[in-house]
Amino acid sequence: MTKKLKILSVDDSKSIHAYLQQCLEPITEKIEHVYNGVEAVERLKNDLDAFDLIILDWEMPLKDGPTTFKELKELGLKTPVMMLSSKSRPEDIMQMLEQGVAEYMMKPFTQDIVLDKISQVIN
Amino acid sequence: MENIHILKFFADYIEAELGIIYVEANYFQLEHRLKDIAVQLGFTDLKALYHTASMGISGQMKSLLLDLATNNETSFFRDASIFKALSEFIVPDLIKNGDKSVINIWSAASSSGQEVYSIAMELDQARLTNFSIPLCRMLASDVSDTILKRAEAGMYSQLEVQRGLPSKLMLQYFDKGETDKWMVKPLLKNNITFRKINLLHYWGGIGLFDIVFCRNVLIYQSVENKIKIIKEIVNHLNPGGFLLLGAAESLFGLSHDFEQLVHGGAVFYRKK
Repeated sequence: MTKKLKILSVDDSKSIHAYLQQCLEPITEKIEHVYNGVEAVERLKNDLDAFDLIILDWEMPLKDGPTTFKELKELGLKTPVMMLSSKSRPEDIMQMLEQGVAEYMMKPFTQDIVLDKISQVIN
Repeated sequence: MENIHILKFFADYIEAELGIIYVEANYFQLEHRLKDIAVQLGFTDLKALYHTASMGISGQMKSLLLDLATNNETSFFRDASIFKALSEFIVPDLIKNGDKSVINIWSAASSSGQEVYSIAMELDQARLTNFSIPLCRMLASDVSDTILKRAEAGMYSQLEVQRGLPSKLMLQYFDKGETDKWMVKPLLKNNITFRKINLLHYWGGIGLFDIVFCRNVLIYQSVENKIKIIKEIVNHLNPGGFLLLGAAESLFGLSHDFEQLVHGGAVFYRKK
């Protein structure tokens, strides 16, 4: 990865935002945070190409990750989405991969894991 | 450091057994690990461990000492370009004459198994588009009993299974256990044999190979040991066979038996 990335992090946890900010610092031009699916759709609906990658939490208030992903796809989103979740059942992971998320990352994760997965998605 | 003579004793032992050199700057790390071993073996402190060790090292103590010295930091598809080179260049090169019914591959420092399972996954994926890839038999070896048992078990924590492994392949080749453990599916293990081998000692009838992965081993060795290991690998490689080293390693000044090749950014060696 040579180009620095613009990443949108969608998660209701402030600590996850802070950890991602720290982990992704070496590869990001900017990282923006929103706290649920409603905010994510609002942020992206008129600016679908604003980011190189979206990291989307599964379980959030107001609108969860899968619903948010579906709505964003219906709006025409082409940006790769990496689902982030504490759900680790193979059927949950399979469901999201089949729906078209680019990658799935289980919590907990470490910096090397998130950087590696982003590298796989972007390259 | 009050225990310097004790640390030197163990550093000398590890160097004699494995060729791995502990410089004094890393004695603090060695001391920390030896204290863990002392606790595991029921000694009151490092001096008590030394007292017993100085009369002879064997059994569990030997096993633990060898474990502590080997760096088992690894991930699936570590240095991914090597695995692409394997499926896109190396295997096609081996079978281009059409007379190979089996390809023998050796993962010489397999650690906890991620490398050999990555090889198996890469080749299984490659078979989806290249039907001419023959049966690949793999030998996975390591100097450490403990780590070799882990490799053979093929059971990884949630963090381990995410290191380097895309989710799609994780679902295809691993089953999730009741706890947060992920287990390699039997189909991936079918053609892999696990065996304890110390690369500095006699390798004993392991046969000939077409491809040898010996990554991140030489980096810890003295020049004499590097030459010795490479010479033995040459003797165990078929003509035209391939040697793959770690990203920070090279054969420069060590051997004239290979030609260096590059594919997709990966550097590797073919026996002349």
